Amino acid sequence: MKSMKELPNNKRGKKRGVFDKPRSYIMGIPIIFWLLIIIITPVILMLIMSFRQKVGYDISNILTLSNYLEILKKPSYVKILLRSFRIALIASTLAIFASYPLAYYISRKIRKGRHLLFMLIIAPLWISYLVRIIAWRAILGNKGLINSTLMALGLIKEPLSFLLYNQFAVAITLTYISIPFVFIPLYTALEKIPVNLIDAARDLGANEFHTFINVILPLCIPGLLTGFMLAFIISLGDYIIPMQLGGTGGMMLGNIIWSQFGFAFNWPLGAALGFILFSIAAVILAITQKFGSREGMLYE
Amino acid sequence: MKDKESKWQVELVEVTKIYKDTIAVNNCNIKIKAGEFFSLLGPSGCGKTTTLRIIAGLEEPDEGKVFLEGGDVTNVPAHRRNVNTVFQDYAIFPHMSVYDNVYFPLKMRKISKKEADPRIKKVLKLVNLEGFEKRYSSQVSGGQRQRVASARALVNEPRVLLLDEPLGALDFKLRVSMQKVLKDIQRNLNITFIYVTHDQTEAITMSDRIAVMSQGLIHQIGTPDEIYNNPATAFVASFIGEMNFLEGLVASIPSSDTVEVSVSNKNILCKNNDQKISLNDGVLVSIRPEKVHVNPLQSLKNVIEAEISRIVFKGNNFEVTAKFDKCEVRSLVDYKVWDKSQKVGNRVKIGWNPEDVQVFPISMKKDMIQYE
Repeated sequence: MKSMKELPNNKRGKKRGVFDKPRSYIMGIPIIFWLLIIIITPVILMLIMSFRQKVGYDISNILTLSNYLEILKKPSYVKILLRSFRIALIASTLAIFASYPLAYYISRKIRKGRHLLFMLIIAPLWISYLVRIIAWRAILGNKGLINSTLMALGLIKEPLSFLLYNQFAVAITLTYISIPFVFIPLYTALEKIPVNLIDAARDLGANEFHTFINVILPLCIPGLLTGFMLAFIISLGDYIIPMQLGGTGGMMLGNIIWSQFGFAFNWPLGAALGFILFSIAAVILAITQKFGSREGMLYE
Repeated sequence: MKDKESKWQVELVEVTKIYKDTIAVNNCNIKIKAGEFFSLLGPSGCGKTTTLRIIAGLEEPDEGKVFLEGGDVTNVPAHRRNVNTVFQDYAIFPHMSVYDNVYFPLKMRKISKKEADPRIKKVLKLVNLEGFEKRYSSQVSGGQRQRVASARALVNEPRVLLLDEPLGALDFKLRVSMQKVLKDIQRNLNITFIYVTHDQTEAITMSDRIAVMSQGLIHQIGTPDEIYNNPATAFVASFIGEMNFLEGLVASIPSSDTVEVSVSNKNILCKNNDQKISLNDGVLVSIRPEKVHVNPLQSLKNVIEAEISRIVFKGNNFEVTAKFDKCEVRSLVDYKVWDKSQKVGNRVKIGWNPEDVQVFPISMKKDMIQYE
C-alpha cells in the first residue's frame, strides 16, 4: 500500500491521446484546414477590417486604432455595451431559473412521457425565430394577451404601456428564446447523475433537500455553466429582438453593429464593435471552460 | 414503538415486492441476530439486492413488515434508519474528496467538521486509508474505492451494515484480502453485517448464517455447514459447491431414515432427508464429488462398477468422471491417493456412504441451476 501512496496519480497508467502518435497529426490536418476556412479566416478578416478607416464613401487601407478610440470616447456606445451586458445577464439568469425546475422534474421525477416532455420544450426551436418574436409582440402589446385579459377582468382601464418597446420586453423575450438552450445541457447533466449516488445520500442520512444541495446541484454545475454561457452569448449578440420589441430605449450592441454595416456604411467601426462582442464571448467561454472541467470527475 | 425485548436486530415478516409483472421478493421471512454476519446468497436476479434495499429503506415492500431492533420501520424513510449501505459500485460522491465523502454522513447529522475529525481519522485508519484524505474517487484504485465506501458507511457507527456485493468488482486476490478486512471489521466492531453476494465461496467462508435465494424465494436459511451438507432443495444443492445429480425412482423405503432409489437398474441407498417421499416417486439423487470414492479401500454400502470417461488434473486433486450406463458421476480424488496409472476407459468401482446422499422430488429439477 505504501508504494501506491507515493505514486502521483498522473504517472499511473497515463492515457495516450489520439495526437500522441506522430502519424495522428496527419489525421488532424483536414480538420485544422477546415477550421481555418470556416472560422478563423472570417475572424481575422473582421479584425483587419476593424483597424481600417472610413474615408468618405471609401475604406482606407491604413491600419489605425481610431475605431476603438472612437468607441471608448463616445459615452453612448459604452452605455449600450453595458446595457447589452446587463440585459444578457438578466435574460440568461432568468432562463436558468425557468429551466432548472423543468429539467429537474423531467429528468429525475417523471418516468413516463419523459421524451415527449423533452421534445415539447425543444419544439419552439423548430418554429421560425421571427414568428416567435412577433408572437411576443402579440402577447405584450396594447391589444395583446396580457392587456386584453387584464382589461376584460376590469383590473385596468388603460392598457399597460410598460410591457412593450423597452428593455423589459427585450429581456423577457430573450429569456424565452434561451430556455431550450439552457434546458438541454441541464437536462443532460441531471440525467447523467447515477441513481446510486442519490440512494447513497439518502442512505447516509440526507433528506431530499440535503441530497439536492450536496449531491445533485454540485454535480450539474458543468451543465449549468454550459447553459448559462449559451444563453448569455445568444442574448448578448442579438439584434432582432431589440429591433422588434426594444423601442429606442431597448437598443443593444447588435443593433449598432447592424446599423454600421447598413445605413451608416461604416464597416470598420461595425467590425470593431463586432470584435469587442466577440472578445467578450471568448472570455466568457474561457471562464466556463475552466469551471466546466469539473465535469471530468463524474465521467472519468 | 421500541420493543426492547425483541432478540432480533433485523426482522423481515412476510415481505413481498413486485415490479410490474415479476415478483422480486416473494413472502420473505428473515430474522437476524445482533452481531451476526448474515449473507443473502443467490444468482443474479434472485431478489437479494431488493431484499437489502428494503432493509435500507430505499425500496418500499408491497406487503409485509420490516423491524429494526424490534421497532416497525416499514414506513420510515432511508435517511432516518440507523443502517448504512456499502453499494455495489461504491457510489462515492465524485465531487468530494475521500475525507469529505466520509464526513458526509456526519455532516448530515449536523456534526461540525472539528468534532467529526477524530472520528473520520479513526475510521480511515480502520480501513487502512490514511494519507488518501485529499484524493478524489477518480484518483484511487478499485480496492481503495471499496474501502472509502466502507469507511463512509461505518463512520456513523450503524448497528447494521448492509453490503451489496461489495467485492464483486475486484480481482480474485484483492477480493480474498478484502474478505479478511471486512470480516475483521465486523468482529472487532461487533456490527451486524448483512452481506449480499452471488459468490458461494465468499458466503460460506465469511458468514455465520446464509439465506439462499432464487427467483424471489428463500430456499434455505442456515449455517454454512447446514447449507453445504444438508441442502433443503435441489436448487440449494446445485447452487452451492459441486454436485452430482442422478435421476431415479424410489424402489423401497427400508427404514424411516433411508430410501433405496433405483438408478439405471442399480439400487442406491440414500439418506431420507425428504420424509414426504413415497414408493415409485421420481427423485433426484445428489452426491458431492468429494464423497465419491474410486476403488474404495473401506467397505461402502453403495458400490457401482463404472468406466473412467475423463480425468482432469486440478492441482491438489483430480476430478475423475466415471460412467455407468448413461449416468456420469464425478469424483474428487486427493493427489496423494490417486493411482496415477489409471487411464480413461479403465473399469473401476465407485462408492459412497448413504449418509452423503440426499434425495429430492423430481419436480425440483426445474429450479436447479443449469450450467451449460
